[in-house]
Amino acid sequence: MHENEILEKIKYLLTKFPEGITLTHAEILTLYLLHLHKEEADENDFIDKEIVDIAIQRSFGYLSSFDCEVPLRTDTVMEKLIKKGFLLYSSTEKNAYYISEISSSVLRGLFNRDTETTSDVESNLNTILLSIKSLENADESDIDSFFRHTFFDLILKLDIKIKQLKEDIVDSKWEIKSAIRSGSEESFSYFLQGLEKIRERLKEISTSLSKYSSYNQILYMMNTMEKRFENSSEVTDNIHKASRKLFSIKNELENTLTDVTEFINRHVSLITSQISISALDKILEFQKKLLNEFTAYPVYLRKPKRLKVADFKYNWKTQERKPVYIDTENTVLKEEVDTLEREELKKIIDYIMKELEEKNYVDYIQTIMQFDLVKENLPKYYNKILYELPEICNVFVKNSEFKYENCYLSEISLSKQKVKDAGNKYN
Amino acid sequence: MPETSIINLIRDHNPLFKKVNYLLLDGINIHAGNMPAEYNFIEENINILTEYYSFLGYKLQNYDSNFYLSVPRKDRYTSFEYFSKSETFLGMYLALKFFQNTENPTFNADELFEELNSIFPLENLYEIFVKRMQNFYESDKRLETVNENYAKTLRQLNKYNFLDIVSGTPGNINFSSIEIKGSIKRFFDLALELYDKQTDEEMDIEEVLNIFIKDTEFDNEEGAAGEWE
Repeated sequence: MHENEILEKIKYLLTKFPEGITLTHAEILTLYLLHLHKEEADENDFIDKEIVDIAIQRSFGYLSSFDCEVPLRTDTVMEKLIKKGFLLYSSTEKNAYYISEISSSVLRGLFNRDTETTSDVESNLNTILLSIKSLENADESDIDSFFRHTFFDLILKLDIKIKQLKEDIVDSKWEIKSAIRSGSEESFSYFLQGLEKIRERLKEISTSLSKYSSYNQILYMMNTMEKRFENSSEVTDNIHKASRKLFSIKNELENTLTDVTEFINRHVSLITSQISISALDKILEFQKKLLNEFTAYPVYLRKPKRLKVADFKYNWKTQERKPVYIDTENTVLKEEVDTLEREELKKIIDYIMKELEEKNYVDYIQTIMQFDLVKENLPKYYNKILYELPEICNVFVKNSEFKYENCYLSEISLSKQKVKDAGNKYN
Repeated sequence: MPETSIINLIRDHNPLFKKVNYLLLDGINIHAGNMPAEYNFIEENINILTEYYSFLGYKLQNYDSNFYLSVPRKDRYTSFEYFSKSETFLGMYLALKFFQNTENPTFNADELFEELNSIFPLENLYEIFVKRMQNFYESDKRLETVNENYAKTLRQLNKYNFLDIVSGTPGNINFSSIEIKGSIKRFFDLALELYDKQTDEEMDIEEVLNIFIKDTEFDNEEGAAGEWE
């Protein structure tokens, strides 16, 4: 369309509808009732004033049964309809009216939607595929006319179908939104119902997006045809146009799919978060209040803090220090160590003898382990003390073993009395 | 699958663990779209990491495919800091915008600024974004300064993964279109917490804040006082 044509149309729109087009409930309903009457009666083209009055009354009745607001006066409805150009005076009859062209087209759009539910997108695509297949051996003129007219007729049906799907999905979305807003207990079940509806609609789309769809076969057929008529630029042009249309349809479907997915994601995450949906508006209101008072009473959101190693500080003294000498020679002589050890050993032996005076039997390892000297190195002193013990002691080797660090030592019990069968001391 | 402990986790996935840990402790949101490797790592080891962070005094949370740490309580042994005044303010404002337009939370940053400027007096904005001033008078230069700091704050929020730049660069973020992400709920949670402290609708904000502050004082205030001096 050229620029001046568009300007012409805009001019027409502005002169005919200087205030835009707005219709109240009552006006639409009245028009619809009149439309129904006209279809049923089918006698005259015009409508009597009485019938218009009756239609207005009936529309009021319907509206009040749905708890809608009803205008106070009946005659304003008719006046406004005439003023807006939805009703026209009849030129042949007195007190009679016509339904104008615009109102019938509006009514058709609103109420007479071509609700085609029997065929889905895929079967529509399939029809196109079949008709293309039948053209396999057709000549140039046939194919040219097919892609010029028939193809777009077939696509039109598909277009309408997709439009319907989209409208249905938008409707379901609104239902879901209003259900969530209402915050009633049933809102969640409404939500699920809405999702179920959308899912049904999506099923129809998803098959046509899969790789087994006829869509791909159509493209393939079109490609082969294009190759066959490479020389005829008109045919290839038309085929290009057709494939562009197909691409746009596929894009449309894909966009719808992603749109719905995003919608569901958002609302599911909203529902699963801790906020109850009905409270959302109230909280948002509160947040507005909070922001308004922010300068006077600021709040801060806490966030975690990465731990850092604390600074290491040492106050170095500036004063001079006396030098420190370390004596590297060991001042304790070896002999001294030996005497210390011997004294300690003597103590242990005395203790054992004293124990033997009191008891018949003494557990050897347990007894010597009481002393720090032995505790540090049991294997060294185990034998040493045993050698040092006086003759009067009898040594019995038990069957059990004592574990010290990573070596095993036989457990021994000592007794003082002479036993006949006592064997060698080192049995 | 055998139970893995935090020690094994640190040993086996040291670089990844370090990165995730540093990001989380810096207050950054780990989003599935932006950082898939890090996000999956947390998701796979969610139990161990939840336990680990709750030991440190934080709470590992997930909202709208975002992992982040929140500080649920003031605690003497938990180290935490605050988002700045301007960050908190702008975050809360963006959260408001997000929940009003959950369908499509994409905005032009300059339009947002104009909106802010029309709602709040410049004096307040100057106080939030720049500094408090006595004897404030409006001037174009002041407005410019506020706008500059607004851009800085937006960049900061972008760094924390609260928003995405749809078109434009971080350099001219105040003229690009931004998408607010679900992680902005963190700021909303703050308002939610305050809202819950409200006993009735008509309560003054100051009172609510007082209750809020009183409720989140240090634990064992008296017992532990002076211990860490």
